[in-house]
Amino acid sequence: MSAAPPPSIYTESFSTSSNNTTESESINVEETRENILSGFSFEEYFQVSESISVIIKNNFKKIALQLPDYLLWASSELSNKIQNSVPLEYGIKVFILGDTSYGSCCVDEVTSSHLKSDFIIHYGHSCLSPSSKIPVQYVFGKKKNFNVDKFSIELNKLVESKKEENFVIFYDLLYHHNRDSIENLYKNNDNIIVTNINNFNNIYLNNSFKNNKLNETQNCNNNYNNDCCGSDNNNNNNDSGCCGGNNNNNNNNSGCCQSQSQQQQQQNDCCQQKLNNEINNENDNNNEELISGRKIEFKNEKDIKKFNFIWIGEESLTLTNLLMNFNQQMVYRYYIDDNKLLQETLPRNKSLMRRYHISEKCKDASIIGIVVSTLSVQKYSETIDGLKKLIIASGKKPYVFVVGRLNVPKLANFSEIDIYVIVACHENTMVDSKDFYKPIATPFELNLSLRNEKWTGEYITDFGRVFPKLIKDLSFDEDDENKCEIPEDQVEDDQGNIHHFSLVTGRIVIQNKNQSTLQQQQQQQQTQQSGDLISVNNQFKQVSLVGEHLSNKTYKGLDMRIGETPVTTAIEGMSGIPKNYNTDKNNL
Amino acid sequence: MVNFTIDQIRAIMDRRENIRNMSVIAHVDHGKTTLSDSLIQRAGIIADKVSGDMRYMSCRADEQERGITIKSSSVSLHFEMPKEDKLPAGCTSHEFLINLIDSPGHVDFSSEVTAALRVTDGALVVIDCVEGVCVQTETVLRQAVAERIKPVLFVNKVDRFLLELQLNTEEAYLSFRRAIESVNVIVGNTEDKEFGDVTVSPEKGTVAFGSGLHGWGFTLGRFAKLYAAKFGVPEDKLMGRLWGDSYFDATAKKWTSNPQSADGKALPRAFCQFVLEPIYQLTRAIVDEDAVKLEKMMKTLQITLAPEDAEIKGKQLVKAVMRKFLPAADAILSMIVTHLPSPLVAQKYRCANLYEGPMDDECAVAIQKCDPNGPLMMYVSKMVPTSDKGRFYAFGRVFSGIIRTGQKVRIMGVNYVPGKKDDLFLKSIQRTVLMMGRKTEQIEDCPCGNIVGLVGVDQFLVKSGTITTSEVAHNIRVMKFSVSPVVRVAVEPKNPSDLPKLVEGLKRLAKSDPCVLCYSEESGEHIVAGAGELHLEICLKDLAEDHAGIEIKTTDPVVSFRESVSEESSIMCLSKSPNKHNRLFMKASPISMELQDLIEAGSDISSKDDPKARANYLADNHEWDKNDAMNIWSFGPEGNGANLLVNVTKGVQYLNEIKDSFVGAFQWATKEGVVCDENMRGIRFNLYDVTLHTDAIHRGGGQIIPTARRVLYAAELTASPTLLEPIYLVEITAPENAIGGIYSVLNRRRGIVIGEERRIGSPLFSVKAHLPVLESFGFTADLRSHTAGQAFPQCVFDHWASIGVVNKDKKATEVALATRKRKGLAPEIPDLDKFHEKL
Repeated sequence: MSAAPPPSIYTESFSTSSNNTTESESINVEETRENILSGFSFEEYFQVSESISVIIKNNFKKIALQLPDYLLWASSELSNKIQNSVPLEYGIKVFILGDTSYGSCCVDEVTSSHLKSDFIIHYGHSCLSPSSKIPVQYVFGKKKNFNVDKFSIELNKLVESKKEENFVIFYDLLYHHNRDSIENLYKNNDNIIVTNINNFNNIYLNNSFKNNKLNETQNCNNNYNNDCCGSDNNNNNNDSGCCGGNNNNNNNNSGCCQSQSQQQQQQNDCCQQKLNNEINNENDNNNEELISGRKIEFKNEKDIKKFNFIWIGEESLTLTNLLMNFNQQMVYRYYIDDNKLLQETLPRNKSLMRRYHISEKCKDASIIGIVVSTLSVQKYSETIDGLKKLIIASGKKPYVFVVGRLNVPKLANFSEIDIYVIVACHENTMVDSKDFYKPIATPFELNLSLRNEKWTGEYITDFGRVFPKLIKDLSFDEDDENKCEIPEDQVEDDQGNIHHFSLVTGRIVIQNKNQSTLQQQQQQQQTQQSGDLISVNNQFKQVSLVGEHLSNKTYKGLDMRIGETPVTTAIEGMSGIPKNYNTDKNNL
Repeated sequence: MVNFTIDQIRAIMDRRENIRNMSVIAHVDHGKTTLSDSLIQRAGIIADKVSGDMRYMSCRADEQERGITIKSSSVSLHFEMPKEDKLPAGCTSHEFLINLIDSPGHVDFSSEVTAALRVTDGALVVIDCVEGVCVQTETVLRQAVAERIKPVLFVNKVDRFLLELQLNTEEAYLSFRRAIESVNVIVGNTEDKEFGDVTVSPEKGTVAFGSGLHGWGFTLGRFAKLYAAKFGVPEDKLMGRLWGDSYFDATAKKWTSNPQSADGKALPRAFCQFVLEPIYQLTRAIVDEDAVKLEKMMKTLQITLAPEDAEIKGKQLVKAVMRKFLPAADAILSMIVTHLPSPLVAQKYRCANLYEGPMDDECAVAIQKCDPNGPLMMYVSKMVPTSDKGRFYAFGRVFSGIIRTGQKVRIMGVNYVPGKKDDLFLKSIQRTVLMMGRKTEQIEDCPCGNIVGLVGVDQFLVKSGTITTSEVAHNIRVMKFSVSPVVRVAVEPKNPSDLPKLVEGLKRLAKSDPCVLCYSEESGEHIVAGAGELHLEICLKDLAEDHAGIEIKTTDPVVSFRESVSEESSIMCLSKSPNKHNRLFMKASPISMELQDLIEAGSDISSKDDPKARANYLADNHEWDKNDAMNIWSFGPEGNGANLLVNVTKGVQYLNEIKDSFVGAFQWATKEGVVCDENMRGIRFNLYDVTLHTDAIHRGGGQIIPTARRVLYAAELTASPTLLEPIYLVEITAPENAIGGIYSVLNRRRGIVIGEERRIGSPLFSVKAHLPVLESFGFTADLRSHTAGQAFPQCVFDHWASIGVVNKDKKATEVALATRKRKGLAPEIPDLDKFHEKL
């Protein structure tokens, strides 16, 4: 696996089984190394000196290195180099993060906060998801085969043929080091924009860090978001303080701006900032937009929908993402080795149709599993909350699963679940493998189908962007302009259940069980009012959809002894992470 | 000038013995719709003049254009028997209500016929006297008899004998007799005691002759009446003499069965002499413009022409005169009321065929009695589009009780199981309407025995279903179609954002046709499957123009295949679970074609049977080991397909715990086979051994489901996997000189001729052949161009046949790879290594 060029990893970075990692160890390290470094020296490729200067400058103590599987061979060498190059008096410690909990493209903040580290260096491809409670340096790696001049000839040809149109250039992160030279070529062309990823040394730091360096004024990237407001809404009040693990930065004025896709730096706003502020922010800065973690600084034309896209590099999840999100626009791909700029005709109609099919399946499902596959991307917990509410409001039953890295057996353990919805970074949110027992939808798709919104052809992979829609009018009865008329095939029967004719199963299925929702709410009210246990009556039974599954099974478990064991009241259990529970003695 | 009012009709609807529900069925182009026209014209809905070219029952523009019927349509007619005629047994009044359903004749639309037959009790079978009984006549007749529908026969296009082919009367008689005999061969070989004798014969009055186009027709009764006085013989007796080997010796004034008279002269057959001869003479007189003779004949036959007809000549005059002489509508309608059963009579013997539940529950009893006071039982057999886009009338027959506007009913879909909530909906009826061809008339309620349309229940039924008020009611049996949707296309919108519209459109299309299959595949492709090219063409046109209203792109037609196996697995397949703690051992082996068909038909053996009875049946009839047969875990896919999962393990611990997971994986794997993601068919999977981890947590669904799927795939791959393709039975009718062209076209398309025969009494040959559906696209056009347009094929799905072993035979491998490519799968058939593991 390691011998293969990185792109093959991209396509499967998420669901690789553990087998693959073990096998890759046996592969000749030397060969891999030659392949990946592709002519750069080790230091150049991994930008070691830059890392060191940042560490020294900011006085970081615990440095965590996060490497994807295909770069694991470099880990020990890297850590030695960094450890040894920083003068002893700084007293730094370098760790290599082992098992990444989700995708290797996302910064693994959870593991690094276990180490209480204050700086992460992330190597390899990244989804650039806005996250980061902890300062991160991204090291993307480099590739040499790109030739700016050849590219510009091709691009000029294209621009020539489409004079009045605007172009925006995206590139594979491996070519990030070529970015400036491209930018220089088109500085004066108002119709061509080159996306940008950073403006300072590939380091994305949170606000608190940035406050130390106010002189770096151009540092106005959204990637400094932190997540505190998210955790607030989420009842995770255990998170003392806004910014998790970076207290040792001695920076107590840690801002926690709630910047959304519009990337406003609102340093002064802190946790008090409510969600609705997001909308206010949007108008402030029209000159920038963030797409796939890349910043676009608009010149003349400000509407991203009026741009053609150019992609430099191999096929990758980022490209797929662009194609899906901007499915109405033209996307050209520059084939570096062939030196050709061609329109990308990836079967995106097909992909869209496949995704729409999954969306249709959401309607038929009665039990939906929410799979949490990120703990770092901002707003993940509100998103989960929003999804839950939406699912309950549709008369369906949600369950939340945290399974770490996704694989087939893990999800197949829950055969009662009809469909899963995954909350993951935008690059990993589309899981298209046929091996999964039940399909996996994205929050966007679930939202679309449960709300009966008319699909306009747009597609959003970034759940942060879906989120505003998610929290909008959760009640079904409210009229909303965005809501299309109830499709003709959806009908209420006399009990108030909404049915629709499903093309997937060819049957009429219950889509929304209004009745059960009502009952559920009633039940909840009753419990709140009286505080007593309520007897399980027939109505309650209807609510338990999983119970219906159980009743259909031939094997129901050993000796269940229902009614033979005494009933006890529930007591509060432990909380925190297993390594060190909050309720443990030494923490009290 | 409508002869009757809705109130009149509503009044008769309560008199069950005076209702006749009948459908008109026949081969394509044998003249059903034209004949229906003349019946409707009699009821006064359409003008006299246009009858014959009006096609009242063809409501759709394309039906009118192509001159074929696509959808069956229903009309209620009011018929008043002549006062002097004898009333059929049990009838109280001379007024009758006839609910007539005109059905399409093209084989692609057979499902419409099935839907029509379900709601009627009798069938008017129309036969072109020149072409005789054709393949579709045979199909629909068989279906009718299977549904316990009584047939009566109308031998159509008799005018062609006279005017075109100029057959003499004896030749015509022989032709008639042959047609009637072949009908009786088809309906007569059913041993159905309850149903009784269903053969037709002219002397009983169940056969009529005539011309739908010219609007004339007669039964022997008409002539018997005419001659009864002259011969002084009672009508009944005379009818017997007017058919068969019966002659009248004029010199001896005696009826004889000897074709020679007493003095040795050859005698003309009575039928020819007394029935055909007058018609021949009359026609000839007109065609030859022998005004004198015509005048004389018209006087004796008491025909007076309307003044406006005085000017016309030739064929037009034939039409006018004959229609006055022998009005078709009267002959047919009285044949219908006399010989077809009323609901009261028919439901007695039809109930056992219709109702799934026990024959002694309240619903069954009410159906048998056709009891308006019993619980409501109605069967919805199809959906008829309304003017309101996307909405449908649920069209069906009330078998017992009364259905009212505003009534609360239980709507039970096809998958409803008594006592469960699946596919059951409670809803009130918005409106009840009477279907009158292209119009509808609102009525307050509708008592049992009638055909009715409902508003407001269409959204709860996919295509058909049962509507009842009884909580204990079982379903009325689902209709069995003689055609299956084997030709498929994938459709996609030109503009991806129209996808939701397409989906809505597909849903509407699925409802509007009893047979079409619309579904979306895992790949996101939306598939429309139809019975044949024509059917599909019509469906797609409807989809684009009416249902979705968007531009669509269509792929070339594709055929659905089935994955099967030809041998037992060469090795014992083993798959280990992801945690390596569980092992599954399995082999696959083929199931006999015969058994596959039985399972798919679902009649003799199905997943719902009692396991013991099923085991006995399998052991007795299919040489199964009885123990194995007792341990059939599941049928798949969809829980009822023709693949079996058999547990042949002995004494494995915890096995019952993994059964659910295993069955789940089996359903999944049989739905999407390993070769090219098609359904499997005819594979028996034997589970030989299982080793499981002792901790329950390590043998949960997560470990078992993916592993079971893999071992099923391994078993399929090691058992010489084959692909099955659907095969059409083709019947081609053409003149002799076109036979060469037919053979060459068939040969080129892998067709195999199974029979060839000359149609006696006509210059036509009919060729029967098996043709792979895969090769049938453009077959009709190809055939026409090679036979100068003389050959006309009818294709109907017949059976599945193997293309060959995948990875061994070129054709099968090609097909498999092409299918994979179309579905966007990996371009190679997966290796065994992916599924099978070494111990």
